[in-house]
Amino acid sequence: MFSDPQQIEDTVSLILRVISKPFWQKLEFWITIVIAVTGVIFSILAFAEARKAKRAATEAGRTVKIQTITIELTEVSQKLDKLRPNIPFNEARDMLTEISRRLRRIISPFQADPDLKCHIDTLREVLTGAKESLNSVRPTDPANEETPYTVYYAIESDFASINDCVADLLGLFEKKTINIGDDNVAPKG
Amino acid sequence: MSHQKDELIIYINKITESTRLGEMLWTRINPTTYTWSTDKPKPAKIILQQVQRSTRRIIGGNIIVRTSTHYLFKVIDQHGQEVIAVDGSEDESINTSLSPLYEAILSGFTQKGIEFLKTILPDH
Repeated sequence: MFSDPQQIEDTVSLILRVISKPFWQKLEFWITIVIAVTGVIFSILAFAEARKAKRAATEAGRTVKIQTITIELTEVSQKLDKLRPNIPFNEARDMLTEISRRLRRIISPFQADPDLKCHIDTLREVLTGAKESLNSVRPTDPANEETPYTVYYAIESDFASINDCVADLLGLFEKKTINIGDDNVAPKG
Repeated sequence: MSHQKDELIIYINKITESTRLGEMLWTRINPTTYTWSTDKPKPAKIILQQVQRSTRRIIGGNIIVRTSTHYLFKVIDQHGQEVIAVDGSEDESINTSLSPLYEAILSGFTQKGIEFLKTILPDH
């Protein structure tokens, strides 16, 4: 490649000259640094935005879930309002079983929530009380259940209490939805 | 009204006495409801039901439960119409007079059960 010794010497001295100059004094180094730092800053900003988006999506999911729960609680409340004075034992038992199952399914994920715990415990107690009241009017002879309004008198107070608890929970869940909305509003100014 | 209430209490006390003496035999409809039927002088039915009500209040994060027991007393005529319907929760004096009647009915049932048990056990 290099046949002339002088040419080799010149090339080596040129290389030595280039190497001997500190790298931070070179423009290319600073261009690279600026590009790298800008890249890091954009990565951090993108990460922060992604985290905010994830949080917003989670909260939106929670809001939708809570709204579904409030709809279900409203349905249960409407069902409780339909307690007929001449309801027979079998119908009352089926109604209470369905209401109890639905309410327990709705409230169980929130039983450790400090805002709801007390109301959930009360609702559980009232449901248990309603079952006891219904058992107290279980017909001795199922084929001969002719005494009017007996079942209604036994359970109407418990059903009213269940409805009160459901109304309390409805209000608290609605408040939670409002709070989620407030938390996600960016402060002005 | 007070006179009628006093009269009703007198009749409830008479029913209680007749029940204690075994002159009125009641039928159990369910664990808390009893009925007595008659055909003479005219068909009629008396129903007595014990109802327990629990009210719960949240005070300072604690659930306070208050339970009360009251009685429902109904008289039904031959057409199935309610002639008398008294809710003990609305009148304490009537509730107080219905309580011994319920106890007398329960006691009668327990006694009947014991007597039946005696008849089926082998003699020693």
